[in-house]
Amino acid sequence: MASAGHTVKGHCLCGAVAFSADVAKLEVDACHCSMCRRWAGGPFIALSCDGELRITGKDHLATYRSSEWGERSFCQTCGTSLFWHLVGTDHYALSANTLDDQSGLVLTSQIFIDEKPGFYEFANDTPKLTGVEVVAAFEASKGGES
Amino acid sequence: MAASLDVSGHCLCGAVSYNATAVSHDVSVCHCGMCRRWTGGPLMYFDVEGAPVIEGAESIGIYKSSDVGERGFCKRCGSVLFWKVAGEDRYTFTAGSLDTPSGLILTKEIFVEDKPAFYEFANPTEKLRGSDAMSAYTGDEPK
Repeated sequence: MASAGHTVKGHCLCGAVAFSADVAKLEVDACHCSMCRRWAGGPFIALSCDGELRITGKDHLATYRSSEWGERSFCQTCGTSLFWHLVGTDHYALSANTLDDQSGLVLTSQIFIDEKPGFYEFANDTPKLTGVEVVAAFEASKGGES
Repeated sequence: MAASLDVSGHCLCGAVSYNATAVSHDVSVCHCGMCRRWTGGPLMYFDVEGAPVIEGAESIGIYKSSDVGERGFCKRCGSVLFWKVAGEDRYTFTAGSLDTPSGLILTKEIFVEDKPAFYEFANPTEKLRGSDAMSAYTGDEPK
């Protein structure tokens, strides 16, 4: 079923930046890591995209390299958190809440659960991965592709 | 009686930091479409008394998102920092920006009518419609 996919479209709050992408699934995860929470104000809920990200309004897009492996892009005009990008790959974590059509989204995992503060909890019944487990799963998936 | 407390926070890159007096340890979640689009998740925030003391203000970008409110973010790293009542020193800062998020309690969810179906909080909270929640900031009668 690799060919079954979805084209999603999204935009920032002021409309200066818009994007479209083809994603395999409408599954989203919530990242509780301290960087995402500091950047997004709360857990960052994202949709995985492995492939081309088509962006309009690129001159309004700013990117901050937040770690050796990751960078975060946002709209310079309104500050909307748009996506996280795994440097050197075509893997993006697109903010689910920027999508024009959010129907059909399903929260299927929570990651960096070991960094979640105690004051909130999602009711959704999902697998919960620690940061170490997320990195291990990613390394395993890379191995499988080679 | 809820005791106010001195808090501090900063953005992801450290260009902007602040000191403020939080009204309490209470955190609220806003599910409105603007907050969700802006932050990438439901916005988690706390109310502040008076004006915060901000360092690195030159790195702050302000976007006026409605007649009522404006949103502050770091222009260098994109961290979302605060929502405030336009033209007034009434601020709410993001829970994620706090240096020490200990002792926080999630007590309220607002704009519950705008929450998408794909997530739900387990915490027992007071749930308010947007117009009821906004009247606390605008002084308008709930619509």
